Amino acid sequence: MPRRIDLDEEQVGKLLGRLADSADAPTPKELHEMAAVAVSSTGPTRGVRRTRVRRSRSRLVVAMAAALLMLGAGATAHVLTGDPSPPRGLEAAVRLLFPRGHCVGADEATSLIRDKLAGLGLSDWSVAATAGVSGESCVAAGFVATERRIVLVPVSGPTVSTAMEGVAATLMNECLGKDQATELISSVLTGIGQTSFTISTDGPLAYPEEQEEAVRAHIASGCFVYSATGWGPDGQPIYYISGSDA
Amino acid sequence: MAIVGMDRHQSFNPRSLPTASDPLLAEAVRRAQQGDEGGFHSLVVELGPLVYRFLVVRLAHEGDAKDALQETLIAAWQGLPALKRPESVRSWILTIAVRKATEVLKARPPLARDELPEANAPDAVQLFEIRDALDRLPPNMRDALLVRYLLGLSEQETAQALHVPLGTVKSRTSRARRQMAALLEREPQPHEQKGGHDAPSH
Repeated sequence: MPRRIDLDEEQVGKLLGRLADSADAPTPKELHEMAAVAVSSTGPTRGVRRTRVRRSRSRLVVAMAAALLMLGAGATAHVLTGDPSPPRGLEAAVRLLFPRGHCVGADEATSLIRDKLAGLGLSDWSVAATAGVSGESCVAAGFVATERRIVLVPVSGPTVSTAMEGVAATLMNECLGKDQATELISSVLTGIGQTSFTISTDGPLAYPEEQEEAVRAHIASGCFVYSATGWGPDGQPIYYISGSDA
Repeated sequence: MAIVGMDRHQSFNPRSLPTASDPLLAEAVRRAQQGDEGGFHSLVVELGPLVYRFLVVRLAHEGDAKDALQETLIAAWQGLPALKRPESVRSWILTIAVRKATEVLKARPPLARDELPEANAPDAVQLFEIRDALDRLPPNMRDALLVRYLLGLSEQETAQALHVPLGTVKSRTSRARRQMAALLEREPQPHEQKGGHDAPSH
């Protein structure tokens, strides 16, 4: 005999709930990891939609690192992706190796990524660091899917990132000229023990998209802004500032 | 229903969901819209279980549901600055999830029954019947049923999530309940007790 079933709204909810309850729900830890992946996956496309590379300095490492640093929020290591996309799962797996707010050294990153590639059966992929990256350098990973290669690019450590966020905010809140901005950055960096760096006006101008109007107005007023961090072939960081007379 | 592991079978009460007017949720949305990662994490912890609940029933596969949730969160992080009505964040993020689920269903082959999340449950037979009835509904009715009754969103929020008029939600959910009841009343046919589980198509 067919069963008679009356389904009111609550009963439908309970029936469907039984299906949902039969599955493993993501734990809070997993949710946090997913949130971290979502934030890092957007890379420069969200926070820095417009990165204008001035003059002839358009080296990939500079642009990538500049975009990374401008994402701010204490980020020290990220994963960059491009087209075509890397194999499904690889990108997310590598991202998890780079917790935000931590410095992952090049040697450690190389080892971890190689293990991950082996675990995923991607033996035809390789890991390589860009010029100037030493074993202890904090790095981020970029995918060059066409060459089946993961490239390690330098990024600032958490202390420098935090300091430069403060510099960026100060330069936006005050109106400093080129010399004053240079002096501010020098004093902040030396204050946290940084001794080998260059400050330059010959670099990319990058900014969070929502700040575009404010940044342009600030520059138009004759003020300098902190625009990006790059790395030279020797691995030395270059801090770029931008202003109307740069 | 038997409980197998606390994490996977915590009871879920739609009334305990963060509401659109929840001040903590509103604050998380506001912060996330300004690029604050902590705000986004809070948002994900608040709404992630809701979105996953929809996806795991819709996709009938835990791995696909988690992948779709990840894709949903990526799109949400990218789209948050453009969200004009933060109080609609629940329906807004579900709109994304519905779209991601549709993409997954279009791309993957049909699932076998032993791949379904309920396959290992003690009451698997009954759950298969519910699953079969749900899968026989037209996709738009199924989405309305899940968002309205599984997640407990209001009719208005369901309309926003599915981008349909309020009247359409009312008619779809009403018809879906009737059809589901009718399907569950039927004696299972012999050919329905074996074989694969067809992924719903659009």
